[in-house]
Amino acid sequence: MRRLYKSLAVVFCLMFLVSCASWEQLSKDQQARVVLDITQEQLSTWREAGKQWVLALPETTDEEKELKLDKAKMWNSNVLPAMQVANDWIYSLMQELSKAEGSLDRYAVQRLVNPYISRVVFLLVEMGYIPE
Amino acid sequence: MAAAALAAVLGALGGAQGLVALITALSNTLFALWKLANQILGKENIPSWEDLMNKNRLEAEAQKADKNEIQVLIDRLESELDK
Repeated sequence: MRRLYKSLAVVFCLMFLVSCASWEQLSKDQQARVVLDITQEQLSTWREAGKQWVLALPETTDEEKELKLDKAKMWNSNVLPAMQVANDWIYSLMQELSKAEGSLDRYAVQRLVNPYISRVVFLLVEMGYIPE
Repeated sequence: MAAAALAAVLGALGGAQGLVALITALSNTLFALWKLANQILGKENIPSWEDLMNKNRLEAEAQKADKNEIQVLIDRLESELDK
């Protein structure tokens, strides 16, 4: 089994080394699309894995039901809204980057990022991670 | 990578169910890395902006559907606990 893990690790390392060498061959537009594609897929993976976890929580006893209810409420009121913010942000990036052929100047990036940072901070305050 | 970290947290919190989520998210992350490498190497087509925006729209719809699904669960659990 360890050999299998090692072999997999070596394959991925090799793929990455070759990929890094090829990365510069891509245009800015292609690089932006590759990164956004992976980001979008990872967001879907997070959402699906999290939802499956909430749905699979046991609910035999009242205590388990209360815990499951608590997690489900947390999921709907905190986690999903944060993911919606992330998805909106990815959309804005896609729109701007498609117009700018994959490359944005720093002011465009600031203009895009600032409102989302404010929304993420607001969510973190709501969730209690940052004191008001 | 971030999905793997999230899955590790879920794994720690949720026992066997978390473990399933952990394995799913880890395998998806590995697949994403594999796909990334293939796109960079030119073995797989890089999606167009239109494809990407379509994916984004589908994700937004999936988020809304998930919210409704979890809300149904919340309503059911609340009514069961009220009895």
